[in-house]
Amino acid sequence: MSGDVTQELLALQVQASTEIEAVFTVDDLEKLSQQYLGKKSRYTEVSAELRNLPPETKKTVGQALNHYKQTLTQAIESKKPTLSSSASQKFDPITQDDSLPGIKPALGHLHPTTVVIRKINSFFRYLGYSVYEGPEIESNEFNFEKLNLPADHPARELADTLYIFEPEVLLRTHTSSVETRAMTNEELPLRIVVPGKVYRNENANMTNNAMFYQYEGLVVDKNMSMADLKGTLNRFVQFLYGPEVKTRFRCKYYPQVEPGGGLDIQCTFCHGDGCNVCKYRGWIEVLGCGMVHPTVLKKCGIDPEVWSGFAFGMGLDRLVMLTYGINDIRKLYNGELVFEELA
Amino acid sequence: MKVPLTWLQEYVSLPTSTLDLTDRLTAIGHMQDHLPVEVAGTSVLDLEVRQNRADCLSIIGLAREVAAATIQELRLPVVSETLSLGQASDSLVTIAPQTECYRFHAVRFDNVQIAPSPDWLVQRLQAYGIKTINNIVDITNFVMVEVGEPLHAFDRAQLQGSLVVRQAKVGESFTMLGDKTIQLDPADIVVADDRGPVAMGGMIGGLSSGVSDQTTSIILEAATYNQASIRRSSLRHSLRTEASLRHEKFLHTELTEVALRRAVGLLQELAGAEVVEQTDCLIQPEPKTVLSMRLARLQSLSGIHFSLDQATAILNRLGFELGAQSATELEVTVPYFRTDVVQEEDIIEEVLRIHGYDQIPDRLPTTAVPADLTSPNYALEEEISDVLVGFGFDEQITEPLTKEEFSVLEPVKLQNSLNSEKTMLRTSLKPGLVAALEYQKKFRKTEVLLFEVGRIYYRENDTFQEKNKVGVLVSGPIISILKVKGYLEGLCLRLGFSPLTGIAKLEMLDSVTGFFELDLATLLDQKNKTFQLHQNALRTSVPQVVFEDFSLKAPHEVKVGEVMAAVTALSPLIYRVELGEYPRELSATEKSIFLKVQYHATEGQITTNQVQTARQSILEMVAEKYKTFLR
Repeated sequence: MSGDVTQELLALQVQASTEIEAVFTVDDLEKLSQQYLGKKSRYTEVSAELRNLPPETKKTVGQALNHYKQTLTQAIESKKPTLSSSASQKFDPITQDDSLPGIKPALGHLHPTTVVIRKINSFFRYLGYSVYEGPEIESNEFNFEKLNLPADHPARELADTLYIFEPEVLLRTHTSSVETRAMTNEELPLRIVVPGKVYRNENANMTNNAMFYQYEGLVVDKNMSMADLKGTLNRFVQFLYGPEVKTRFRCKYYPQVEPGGGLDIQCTFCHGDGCNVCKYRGWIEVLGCGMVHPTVLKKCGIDPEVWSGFAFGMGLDRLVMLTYGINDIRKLYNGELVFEELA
Repeated sequence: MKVPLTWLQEYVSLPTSTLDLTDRLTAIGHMQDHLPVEVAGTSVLDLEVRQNRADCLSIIGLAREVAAATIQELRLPVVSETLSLGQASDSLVTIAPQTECYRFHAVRFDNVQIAPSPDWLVQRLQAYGIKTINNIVDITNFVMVEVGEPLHAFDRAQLQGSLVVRQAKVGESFTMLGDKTIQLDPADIVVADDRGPVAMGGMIGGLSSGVSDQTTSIILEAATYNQASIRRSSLRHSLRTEASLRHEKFLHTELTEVALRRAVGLLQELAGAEVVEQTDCLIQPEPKTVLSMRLARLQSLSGIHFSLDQATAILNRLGFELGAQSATELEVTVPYFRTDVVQEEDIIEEVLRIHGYDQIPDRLPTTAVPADLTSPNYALEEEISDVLVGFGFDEQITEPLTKEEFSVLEPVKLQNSLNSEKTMLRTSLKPGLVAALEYQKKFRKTEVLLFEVGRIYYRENDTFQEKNKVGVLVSGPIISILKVKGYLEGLCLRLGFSPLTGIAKLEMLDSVTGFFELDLATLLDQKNKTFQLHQNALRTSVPQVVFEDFSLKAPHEVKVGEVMAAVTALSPLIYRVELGEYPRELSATEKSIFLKVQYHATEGQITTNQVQTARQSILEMVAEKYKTFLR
């Protein structure tokens, strides 16, 4: 007899649990509670018969009853708060729906160019570089003369200069002018990076703007070589594009350096197969660099027999545009950059 | 530079794969600009032009590079040793004094037979991209591309008198090949006959004296000029020709003879031309450049342990002559075609690039980290930006080149801006942010919070000033001047100091838009006087405070902030003074001030007596100083 009853209670318990789980309203839950635990329930019936049972059966059935009641009571209690209610219970649309959006604080944003500058600064700060500042209104001397770019140099006609007083006062055409200032004014050795605005006399289009950003770096110390330059830039490019990036270091001409070089990365879009982004070259030019030209060192009052140095530079805007999927440089700097969180 | 492979192959054996060739060329400094194309039955490479390498605007120059980089033999075209440029004469041409021309070498030919060029010549020029005209013109173009020296042939019958190379005269005009007439500038160089200019030196020939089917006698010339002069003429007239492209680089005076000898050979062969006489005006011959290269310097700059033999082998392949040599130093004579090599470092680059930049080891400087020269502005700008972003602001970077309707400061103006909307540098961050706001409104945002960290520019006593500023613009339906001020105060407190009156001028641009601009130097100065964290913001124990409200009446002109500051400063027993509500007008002369004061004892619990005393001192002070009394 005891075996039959305990089996029956267990079956009832399973049935009840399933029904409780499937219930939608508090009323229905209450009905189930009555049905399985109430006065007319089988539970109450068995409980009433308990005292008439022989002692050995009494114990097993008693335990089964306790288990039955505990399990179902718990199931009912934990179901209650999840249910929408009948008239007797207040509907709470917030606790009821865990998909509701939260109330967000105002979300401010840094300009993407700032984000990229900060990221690159963090790399060079770690390697002991200072973030150095210089004027944007610059003299012919620091912007051109000390950089081995005399008046007749072809590079000067390519860099369409914006003049305030031709030829002496101008808007810097590159951040290299800050490097000649540092070399002229600071104690050696020197390890600096210079992020900043530069200017060219150009009509704006999708890829060129009269103002844009450059990022340059300079080391002047004893026994610096192309190997120090290459090691530094390889690590930098891996920091920027990931450790798997493939690089190419090649000879390139810049008047400020000798020997001069260019560092390319294999196109991260087509992996070298050739695409629109890399103009079907398979490679993207990332940095121009080289050993500081002895004439530049001399013009800044540095003895090239004692000191040597390397310099490197890059345009920042293209990197920013590729990173953030912006296809028009003007949008970065004309106030038409809007941050909207759509998530 | 377009490089037809069949042409290049004349002088050097090429790698079987074009990709290997372009990779090698790129590595040594001649980057492929566009993918190769098929023209006239050959692959044509497109290489970036190097500013300093006049020789690489010639097929032979590039063949020499390929030969050096791939260890192949360079096969130069054979010109007979006995070939003559004709009887020396001074009748063909003279160079006028003060002309930017270093050498002008002219050769006269008679009995010229004009004909179409042979197929091989047509194919070469087509592949390069020059139209074929007739054998004479084609030969001049062929030699130009082959050796890099532009040549020009005049129809002698169309010339009057002898030629003179001179600067153009004021008011002179010139009709070039293609029938376009331009006004010359005295800075332009011309080749003229008795009637006037028949060519623009280094640029283009004239319409009237060009070689035609009727031509029987020609004057062929090769020259070198001041490259800067040619470059400026080219820019001045927006005229870029194959000739100007080469003359605007540094061509050695010896190159004219190399080109003429090659052309004479071809003219004799293909046009049956007879050399008659030559006039060679050599004003300023280029001296030979002899440089020494120290092995130690090569090793220390390159980071590679080269041997002298390695360096010598590379330099030989590039056409440098090696002179006296010690164990530590090489004497190097620079060939005429390498006008870019002028000092030791240039030689070092030659050795290093042919050896291969990919062979350079990869290491980091091991010297001690130098002093930190980071501008204090940098950290402050970052901090300000972070605080404002934390308040919910979006950063803008707007272009300082602008056109302001009205400037508070004397603006810095540009002399030569191409754009009439960008004639000066901004004197305030406001217009840029206002323009950004207008655009943001299109996105129907309820509230727009913008800031920019950047410079303003102005003139002061004949100096040019640049000041780092932060501009803050707030706009939205519930923006009041007090909310704008609240952002200013919040920013100052976050930077670590109490907001000062007058640190910035608050402006309401309209009823819902406020702006202020802060000077970074001022902020930096304030910040340096205080700790990172605002002192008043830090508590280490719960204060035992007693609250008391003061409902006061004050004359209209009394400044509430000053009253609050004065009360706070009155006694150490006063812990905090807050404004219970904003003042209301009570009468024509009086307004309400509702202050909530908290007292505390510096030690232990504050006593009733102490509160009484403090309260009394507050009332006495405001009565005396501000004519302010309990209501």
